[in-house]
Amino acid sequence: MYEKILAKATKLGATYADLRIQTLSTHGLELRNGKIERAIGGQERGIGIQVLFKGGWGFHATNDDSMASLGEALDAAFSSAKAAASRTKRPGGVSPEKTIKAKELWRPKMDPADVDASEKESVVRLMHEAVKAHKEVRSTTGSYGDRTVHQTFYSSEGSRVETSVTRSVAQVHFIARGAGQVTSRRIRIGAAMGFELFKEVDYVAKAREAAQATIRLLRAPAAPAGRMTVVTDPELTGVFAHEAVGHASEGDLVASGESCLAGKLGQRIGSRLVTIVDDGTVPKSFGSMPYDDHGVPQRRRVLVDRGVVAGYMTDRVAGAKLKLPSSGSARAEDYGSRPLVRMSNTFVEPGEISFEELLEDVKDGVYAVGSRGGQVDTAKGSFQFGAQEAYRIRNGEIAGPLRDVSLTGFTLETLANIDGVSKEFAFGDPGYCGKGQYVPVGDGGPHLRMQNAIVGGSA
Amino acid sequence: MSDLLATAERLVERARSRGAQAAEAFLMRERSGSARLEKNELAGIETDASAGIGIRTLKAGRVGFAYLTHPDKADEAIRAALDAGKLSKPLKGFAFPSKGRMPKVAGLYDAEIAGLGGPDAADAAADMVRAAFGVNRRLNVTEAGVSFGASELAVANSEGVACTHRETSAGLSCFVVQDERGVSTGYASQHMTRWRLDPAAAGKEAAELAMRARDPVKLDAPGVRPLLIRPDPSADLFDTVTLPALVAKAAHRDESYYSGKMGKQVAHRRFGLLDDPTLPRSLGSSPFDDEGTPSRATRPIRNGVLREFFRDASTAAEFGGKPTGSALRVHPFDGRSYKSPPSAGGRNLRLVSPSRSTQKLISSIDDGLLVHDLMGVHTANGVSGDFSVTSSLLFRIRKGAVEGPVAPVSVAGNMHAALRRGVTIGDDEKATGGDAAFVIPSVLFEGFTVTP
Repeated sequence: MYEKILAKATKLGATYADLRIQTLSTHGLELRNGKIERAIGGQERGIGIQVLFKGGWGFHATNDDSMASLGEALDAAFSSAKAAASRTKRPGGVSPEKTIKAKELWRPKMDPADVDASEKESVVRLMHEAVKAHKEVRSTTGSYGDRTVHQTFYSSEGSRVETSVTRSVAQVHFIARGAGQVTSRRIRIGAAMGFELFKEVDYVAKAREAAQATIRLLRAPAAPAGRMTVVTDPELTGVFAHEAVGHASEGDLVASGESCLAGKLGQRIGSRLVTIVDDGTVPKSFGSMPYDDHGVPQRRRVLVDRGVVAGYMTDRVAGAKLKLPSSGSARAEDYGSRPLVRMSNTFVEPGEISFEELLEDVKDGVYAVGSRGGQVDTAKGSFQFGAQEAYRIRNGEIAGPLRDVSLTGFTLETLANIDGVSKEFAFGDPGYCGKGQYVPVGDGGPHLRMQNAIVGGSA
Repeated sequence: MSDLLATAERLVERARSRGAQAAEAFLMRERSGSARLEKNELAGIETDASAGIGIRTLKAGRVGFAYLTHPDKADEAIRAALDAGKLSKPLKGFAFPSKGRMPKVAGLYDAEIAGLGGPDAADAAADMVRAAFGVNRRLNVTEAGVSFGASELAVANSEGVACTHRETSAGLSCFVVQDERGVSTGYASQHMTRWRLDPAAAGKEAAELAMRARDPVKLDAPGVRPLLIRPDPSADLFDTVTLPALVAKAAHRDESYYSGKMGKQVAHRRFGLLDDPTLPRSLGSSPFDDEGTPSRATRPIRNGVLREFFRDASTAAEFGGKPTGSALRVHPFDGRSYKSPPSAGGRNLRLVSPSRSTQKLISSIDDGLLVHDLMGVHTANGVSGDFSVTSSLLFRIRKGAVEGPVAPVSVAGNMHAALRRGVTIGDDEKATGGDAAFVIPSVLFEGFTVTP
């Protein structure tokens, strides 16, 4: 019946139309101090339909999926497209793409729907206990969540792509007090996996180590402010790749003139040591998916190749504007949202030297570890992000801890100032990227050494 | 009776017949539309018609929650809520709110919005571009949007609460880039309950800001300076650092700066925070909160003294006191939603502090900065109040006058300490969007460290 709806769109004169029908199933637990405070179960169904008519785009979403309502949804999207067409001098389009029929259901080894809630609870409770073992930890909040999204995508060109992806997450956030200071931290485990994730990852050790490091910070002096050499750990490197380079490589922002990387395809913007990639095919990674929300298969996308801008992320809409093929980067938060150009798993490729060698030449600097989140102004190419932990580097060695370190800079200047890339590689904690809509992403990389980076501190 | 409320009452009865000792249903139906611009041209029109249900059950002192989009799945959802309740810790003394006298709150529903279509938003968006071009034809309105929404809510529970309410909202945002002399940006936004947006004013404001921000000069040295922070970034600081610390749950569990400080001086004696969801024509207002408790004004900080924490029914049961009408259903990704059980929080906030005209505030500053944006506020340490953020759209104030733009700086400080020192507020009040609505003017903060 969905094909019929799209055939009607074509008959009305639409150049292109697509429809996503989703079923979303969610389980969640919220714990405080190791005890379940709330448990949540959710079931949603809905559809999102978009229509291109004479260069105008219209989108309509509803969770009424009756046949009558589908007809109304098409009418709404079509009349929006028609109204848009009559009001724009720059018609939109879609980049060409092969018609595809595919079915890829990523069935988890342990379907969370079949796992008893007490087992899910024990994951968070054990993380809580590992953290709470420290007397400085006053309280913890934790959560467990899983979500399975089953989607069938239909396009007026005849594509039909059925996918299913399950993602699981557990996290604990704690507050520690001591030495007249108070600090907090979040530790998150997550992947595009079912409950087997918690059988494969030592989440207790991870929580314990993070807690130890955070408690050391209570007695740490505040960070100095100013320009200095900074070494970032894999997680913070990943945030830099995502925030500073990834967002500026999003084709919709490039096309609208909102990116400092616009017009720089093929140009050198950074050190030869730096290669940055967005890859939706990394097995089980939080940002991975089989197909994008335009029905285009996932792939590896090189954004910066040895310091040269090698490509932008595009969906079929941004691709048409930039006269580039889609890179398979269309993602929508759910049926209720129109797909935008989004990242998947974004990382810096590892280099050849060890972490110790990277530190060797640093006389006085800061080693910044983990991320408290970040933000970017893609047009100006400026970014800001906070580190979870930080340490002074003196004469090539890690010295004492520092509190409240943030990093600020300009993307292009920072890329040119990277003079060391380590061979160790890791993905950081999984995250959610917000661009009006939230999507799960992964970030990672090696250790990076940046000269002349701007550290924001309060000392 | 609205069909939504009738469904809510039916679901409460259904849940009771399926084993719940008490139950609550929260229904939300929304219709919205928006138009978005990219690079000065309309890029698309979007509409949405969605509805959903959140069900809470109480059995043996345990509360469970489930949500659904399709009433044909109601039995499944009731079972899911009861199952969820089995896992939750018992909450002694918990009861769903009982029926109370609802205040009348005017100006929350604009019939004109209910009749709008996507093309209306598109036409308003086009006005923004025209106004920006009126400032300078070579500017680029890279991203702009106009949106409207009308929603209907219903809450019913087995204690006799049966209430329904309609509300509307309208908003716009406009982002302008100037790239002929370096790259500079300008931004403007508007949020309100009625269809009274002024897109031309927003386009002009964003464009003028982008033009004024050309050729920024690097600040000579780091130092502590007075900062006059514009309404949006000020609201961001209060929303991220101050509000979460005033929630009863955090405060009673030693997770907040305000823990153990009830009745004590926590801010300057002339500083206060007012949360009044009964104010007319305000985005955070409604006659009842998201679990059916009548709305009322709360003053968590009054004359610098900590007076009250935000409480919903479950925190009232756990920590004593009555609910303050502060229950909100905010989903981490989707904003206000049936997908979240209620939690307490600020709803419709205003600062009470010494005020002067914004112009006089500027005149009073010998050497400071006028800050239009703050990046990374969400990385602030919510407990200690420490933050280190970046501003990339700011101007120097010298000898009482706004001078030229300043190159990006980092701004570090402590929000709680700033409130103890006291803040002065201007008269350029603005309603901000967001889960907690603020009506806030520019705020003069002292004691923040600025590093070029």
